[in-house]
Amino acid sequence: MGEFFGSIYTALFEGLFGINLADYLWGVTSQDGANLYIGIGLWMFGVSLLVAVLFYYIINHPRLNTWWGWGIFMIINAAVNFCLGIWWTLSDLWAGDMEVYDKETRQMVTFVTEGDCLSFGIANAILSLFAFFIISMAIKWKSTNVSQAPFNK
Amino acid sequence: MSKLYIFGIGGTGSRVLRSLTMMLSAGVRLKNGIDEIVPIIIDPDCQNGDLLRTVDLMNNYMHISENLTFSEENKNTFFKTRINRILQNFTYTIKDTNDRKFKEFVNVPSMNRETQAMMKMLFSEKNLESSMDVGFKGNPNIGSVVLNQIAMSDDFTNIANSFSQGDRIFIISSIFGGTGASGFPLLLKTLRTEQSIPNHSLINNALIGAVTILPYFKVKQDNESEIDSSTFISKTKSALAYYENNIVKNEEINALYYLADEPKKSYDNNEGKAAQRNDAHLVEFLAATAIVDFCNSDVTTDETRNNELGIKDINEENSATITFSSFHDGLKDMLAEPLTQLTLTANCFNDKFSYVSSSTLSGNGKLGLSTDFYRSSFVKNLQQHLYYYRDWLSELKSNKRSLDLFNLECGDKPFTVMTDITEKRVMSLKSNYDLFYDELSTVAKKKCQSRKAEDKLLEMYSLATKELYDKKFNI
Repeated sequence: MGEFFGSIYTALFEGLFGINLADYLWGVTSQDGANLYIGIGLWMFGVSLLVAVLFYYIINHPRLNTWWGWGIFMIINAAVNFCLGIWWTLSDLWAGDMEVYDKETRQMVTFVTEGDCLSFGIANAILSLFAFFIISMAIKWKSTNVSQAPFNK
Repeated sequence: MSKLYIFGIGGTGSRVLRSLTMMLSAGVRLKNGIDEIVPIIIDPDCQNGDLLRTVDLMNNYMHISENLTFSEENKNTFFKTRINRILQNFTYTIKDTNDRKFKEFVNVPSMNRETQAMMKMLFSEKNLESSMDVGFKGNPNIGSVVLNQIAMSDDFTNIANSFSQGDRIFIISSIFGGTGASGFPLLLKTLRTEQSIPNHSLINNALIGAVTILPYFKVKQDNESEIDSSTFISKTKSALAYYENNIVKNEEINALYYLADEPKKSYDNNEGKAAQRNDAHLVEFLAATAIVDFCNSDVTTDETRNNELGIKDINEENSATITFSSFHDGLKDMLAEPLTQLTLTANCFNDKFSYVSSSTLSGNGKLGLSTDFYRSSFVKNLQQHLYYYRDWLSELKSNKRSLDLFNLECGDKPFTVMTDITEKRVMSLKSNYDLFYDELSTVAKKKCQSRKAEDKLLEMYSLATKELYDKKFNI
């Protein structure tokens, strides 16, 4: 699962959030060597699923059976995942978990910047758009009021 | 399956048929296997506003109904009873009355002196000079002569030809005017005794019911008019005595319904033609329920059953308005659910048509009801009917006595529709029209099984409004 999410994040967005953060999330430079993509990936997917279920089955509002009604929820989902992506990485950065030992200076240093974390948040938000679309296509059919969204004017 | 032949005599006949048509469109059920009515209007004043309005309404009903197929899977109850048009414009042709005076009709000049003298005893000069193209203007003595032609016409033969075993007959007439008071006994006699018509044995022995309407309105005094409401009571007394001795005692009729109310409203004194277009009235509404009761009761040919209708707590102090609470259980059970269903639908079409005809309503997508379908002549006819229906309810409400069943100006709160019943709260995240739309889409997804777009549309509304009625009102 970690391999799966990691491949997607790095293949599509490594250029955006940088190799240093990518290595940390792969577990290459982290202190415990754990693959962190599995956590962030599952959160991104879980939040997208939750928002989609909320849209199609809980709120299921008759007036939202339009592309824009669906779009509002997609944007909310992206915003939540943007925040989640930033929080997930920035909290580690500020906790010093991303520091690595520099043999030359013999000091603990970090090559990941706050800008990288912001970029990861953007990457996570963009991925959540795809996830929300795929989940929507999978679960929309049994909704009573909004099953035609997003393909409705 | 059987038919009910309904003879609506005079202006009152047309107005009662109007109320009945509204009830049938709402899905008020006729039982005992009756799934079709055959309205026949007998009125020499064929330009009468009441008649034209009813004919237009029934034609429109037929256009809608013809597009519907009531197969087993279709749960729609709206417009379920068929209306069959045997006569052109549902109207019985009364010959030789156009542009003719009564004395020309009976050909007084050709009579010998003795007969002319007898004529002058039976008919006043005003009667003899009376023009018949606007009816008999409150003169049953004229009507009883002119309407004698009933059995000898092609129209009657056509009606008799279509009559089958198990069919029933109902006659609507007022007792205080001219056409109804004279037409009812004549027609009944013809139906019971005429031997020269096709299927005469079936017709002679058919179950026949009638509603006779006693005075329930007045007309304004007008010296130019031959109609004078001060004579209504005396005419009624004479006619009732005649009915008692010649109809009830002879058991010519199987069920006779009497309806009366203290006249509270004076209409403009119009002798006929387009100007005779009275607002719908409670008594006509109740007369229509007599027809439903006749179909649904186990009437026998053994005796004449006389029926009256009671309404709760009517007295001078609280008589201003009749609501569902004023009805006893039988009437409430017959009417409350179907009429509420159609009123919810009519209000929704009136207030929210742009939404419910759009693809945003999920039910439309599920059932394949396109925006082109919502522009079709079927939907236009349905909208027209729902407009007529709201108009009819509005007239009933504004008349005296007022029949105030529904709130037609609900705005965004559709469940304030019943005037004397407060909606129940339901467990839902949605309310008002959002709950209505939710129910439409839910039944479209889970319950609608019909195949044609026209059936699907009405089945969706019929099922959804039934669910909503059960949840929100269920009285």
